[in-house]
Amino acid sequence: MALPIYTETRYRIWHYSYLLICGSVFFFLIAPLFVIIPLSFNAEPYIHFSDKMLALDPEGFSLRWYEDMIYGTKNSWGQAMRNSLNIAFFATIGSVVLGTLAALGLSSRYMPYKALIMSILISPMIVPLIISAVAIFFSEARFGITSTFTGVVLAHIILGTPFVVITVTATLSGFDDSITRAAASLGSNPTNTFFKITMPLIAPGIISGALFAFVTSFDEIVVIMFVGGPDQMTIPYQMWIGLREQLSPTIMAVATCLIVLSSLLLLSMELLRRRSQRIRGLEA
Amino acid sequence: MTNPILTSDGQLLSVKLKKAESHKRRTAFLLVLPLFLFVVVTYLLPIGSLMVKSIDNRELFSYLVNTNDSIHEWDGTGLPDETVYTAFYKDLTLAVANKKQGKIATRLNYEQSGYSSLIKKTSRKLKKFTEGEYKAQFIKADKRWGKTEYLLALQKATVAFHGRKYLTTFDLNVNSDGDIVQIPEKKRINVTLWLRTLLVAVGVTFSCFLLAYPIAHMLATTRAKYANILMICVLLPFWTSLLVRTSSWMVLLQKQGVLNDILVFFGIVADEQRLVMMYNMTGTFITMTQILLPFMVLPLYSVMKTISPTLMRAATSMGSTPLHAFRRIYFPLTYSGISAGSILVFVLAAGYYITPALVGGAKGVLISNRIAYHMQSSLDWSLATAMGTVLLATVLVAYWVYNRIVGIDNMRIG
Amino acid sequence: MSKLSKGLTLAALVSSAPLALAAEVNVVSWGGAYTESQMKGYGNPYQEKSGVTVNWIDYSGGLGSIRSQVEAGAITWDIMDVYAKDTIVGCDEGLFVEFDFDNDFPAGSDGSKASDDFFTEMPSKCAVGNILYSWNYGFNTNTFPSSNEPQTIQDFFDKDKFSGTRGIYASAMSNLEIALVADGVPAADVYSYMDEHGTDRAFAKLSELCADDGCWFWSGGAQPPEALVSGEVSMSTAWNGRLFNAMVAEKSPIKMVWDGQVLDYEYFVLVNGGPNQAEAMKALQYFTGSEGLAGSAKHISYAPFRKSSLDLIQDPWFEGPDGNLDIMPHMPTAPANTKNYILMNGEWWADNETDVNDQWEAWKAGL
Repeated sequence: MALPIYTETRYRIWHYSYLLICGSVFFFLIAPLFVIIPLSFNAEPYIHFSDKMLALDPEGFSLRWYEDMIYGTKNSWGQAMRNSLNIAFFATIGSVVLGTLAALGLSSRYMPYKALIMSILISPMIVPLIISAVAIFFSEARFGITSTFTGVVLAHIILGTPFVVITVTATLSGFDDSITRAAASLGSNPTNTFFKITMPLIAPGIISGALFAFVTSFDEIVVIMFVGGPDQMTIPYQMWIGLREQLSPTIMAVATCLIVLSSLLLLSMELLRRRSQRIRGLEA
Repeated sequence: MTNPILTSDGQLLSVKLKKAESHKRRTAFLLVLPLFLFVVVTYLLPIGSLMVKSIDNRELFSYLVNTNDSIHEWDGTGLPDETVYTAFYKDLTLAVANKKQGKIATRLNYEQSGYSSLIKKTSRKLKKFTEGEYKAQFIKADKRWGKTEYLLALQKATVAFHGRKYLTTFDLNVNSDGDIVQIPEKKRINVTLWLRTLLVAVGVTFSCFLLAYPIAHMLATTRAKYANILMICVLLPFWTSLLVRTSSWMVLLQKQGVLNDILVFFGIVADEQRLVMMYNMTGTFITMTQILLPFMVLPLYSVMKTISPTLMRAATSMGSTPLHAFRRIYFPLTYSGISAGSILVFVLAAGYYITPALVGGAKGVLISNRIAYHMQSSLDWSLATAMGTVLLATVLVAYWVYNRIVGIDNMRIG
Repeated sequence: MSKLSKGLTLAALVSSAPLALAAEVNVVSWGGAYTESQMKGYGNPYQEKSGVTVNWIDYSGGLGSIRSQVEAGAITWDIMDVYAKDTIVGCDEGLFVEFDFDNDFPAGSDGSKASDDFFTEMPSKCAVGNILYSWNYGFNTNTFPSSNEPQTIQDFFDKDKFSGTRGIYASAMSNLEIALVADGVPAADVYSYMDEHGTDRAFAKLSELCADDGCWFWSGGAQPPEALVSGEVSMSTAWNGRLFNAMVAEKSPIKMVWDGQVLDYEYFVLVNGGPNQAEAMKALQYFTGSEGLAGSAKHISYAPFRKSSLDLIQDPWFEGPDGNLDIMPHMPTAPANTKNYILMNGEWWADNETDVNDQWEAWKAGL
């Protein structure tokens, strides 16, 4: 943002301090993440930089934690990853199906009590997580489904659906209804219209909602602490136990992998956004 | 009057229209129904039963069946008579036979400290009791059975529903005269935590606002090419696991952590006096700010994006200084973004559990940690649910206030 | 279980991760070096001998989790490694199975019956002892020069002579005891003192120690060695075996002080209604046999509960990374280490822990 040549000095000062402040805030946001990456290569089993590492001595670095993560028998990060992916997969499907249907209904002009129903549907997002966790634990305990796969997936669907509802209703708000009417007038039945016309156009909204629901389930720690059992050990749960008790840098190795995973997710979302803008004919 | 309009199949247009509209309404409703039922059954009803649990004392009530009736005839002064002790003896013997005396001990201990050890000690001596004269035998087993406050606590505990957990939530108790008093100072903890949670939530909201405003402005006004790259700085933390972010702060802020190392290296701080930024309020505050910052940035960004740049230029061209234009034009236009971000950050901060548990040490714990403690350690589930209900009520009040304020503001701008 | 939950569980079984086909036993213990010593000492040998898979789950103590499981009707644990006070409370509440000691547990390798072979009587009918361990404290040798090293429990509380943050256990247990002894109460009279005068004196001493961010709280056994090495604390209480393992296996610059140690016993219990109760009982018999307990001493410096196990230990017995080391001098029960010790009273804690914990939590929050 180049300043016009006639800008006075005091405004230049303002401008550069503004850039400095913004720069520091961005740094504050992103730098902590990257502290973890070098620590995962620490040769010593402690979560702080050893002197060898600070001197950039190659002996201070090793891949032992990555080996422990993949091959280590005690922590079974592999099993935790499998559980996390399994649970997140089913939770995402459940959230997307229920959420998309509800969003379609809510976006219709003819929906009665829209605001009230909307706030009920997104209530899991509003209530503090600890309360949701406790409430879901008690109700699942009554039906005997705590410490089961189903119980955890159900809980994650509850938490993930509001995101899908919000993103899909936002996408549908820009949706031109005349297209469906045109399709109907050309002889298409509603189901056909939905799958051939509506779905492709709201796909970006569904997919970003699905991504939100996936990340919510994959990262979820509070509810699963109450509702899950030892067979539902997920990556965040394992990390939580690790951070409180075992403190081996294997956690840093897992954290690095998660950062890489998030970056990939972010990249895919960005590419999706650009694609949808191309489809809609808007410029990037 | 014109002729009524008919459709192609001879029906009145208005009738056909009504039918079509109600059909569309039904379809919309049916689409929403699955999720609606799902949320109500699996979520809202459980929250409701949570509130019921906070006043539910029926389990203890059921263990003290005989004592219930007789003890309520006692007026609360001195000591109750023999019938009460006999009834209690019957209940306790039955409980020991069913291995429930531990539960009675724990539940009664919530009413009056000391009951835990009292019941356990008495249960062990119960077998040696002889028939009759129970009052004297109880008092001989432990002199606490001759103290009014213990018997009063027993009387208070034998009700099916009680609201007393709500008093405990605020460190209050009902004394023998029936007045509401504060519990002894050395045991007061909850009020401190409520205040601390509110202060932290407000503080974090404010600091997030201060930090988020400039960068949201930059994201909204710079060229798309740079804005997209900078947006990654906001979104990457947002998408990264909470535990990863919290653990990175643990590494940065601990006494031998990166930040202290840097400060010592530049000579700002002496090696023996490294700053203690972790496992206390500072650690909780900084970590929570960084974690919740994206939640403030994104709403602000989306609102700022809708503000046309020509407005500021128009203001300056009419003679306003940039600062004045900012204050009178730009800032008011961002109110809805500020309030959306603030309410989001406030509610999240008030309910935060994981971060304070990891980085708060003893002094940076918040009310959610206390709720979890009661759920997992002390197992006083009525107290945990009572505190949860109060927290939920606080959050709902915050939302209501937000609605009112935003409503008023909207009227002013529009 | 209701029909609904049966149906849901069936759906879950069909869709969930691999079905367990082999017999399993779930053992809950304290994690880190301790669980590893149990795995290597008797868990893995039992697994090989019997073909039963032994799963090790970590926890940080207390009966909260198991009570939750019982209330929710979904018990997933079979065997738990618990404090004495928890065996008493849990047994009273019917959470654990009562043993017929001499019939349920094998005789010692020297032929003596079980109840004679174990050092002391069990605190409750549901407990079977496994080790004796200690709460002592350690310091980083780089922080204090060898001319001025802390040597007594009073030194731990002396912030003028020995500066720096102290690490103490996150719960009241063990802290009240050492505070009173450091303040002058004789070690043998600690519990009777608290029965008569209450806990205020101990809290006052701890307030002195923890003023101005003076204390760091640990809840997991692996935390004290890490904090000592990283410099987060200058001295910390810890479970002695964890400090020893850090010193030997990781060559950490830590030294232990045994003065004012709190000698404590650790027990196994069998969960009532656990998913694999019968198998778990058999596993428990192996774990607490003479050989099993002697085996765990190869990997951590805790004393086995059985006298016959001690006879089986022939130094050098401990399997360190550079070869075997003598383990007997490093046990909490070694004569050199028991000059001034406090014997943990599980019954006192079973009776008083609820009251004391209320005060402890309020004290922590008000620091």
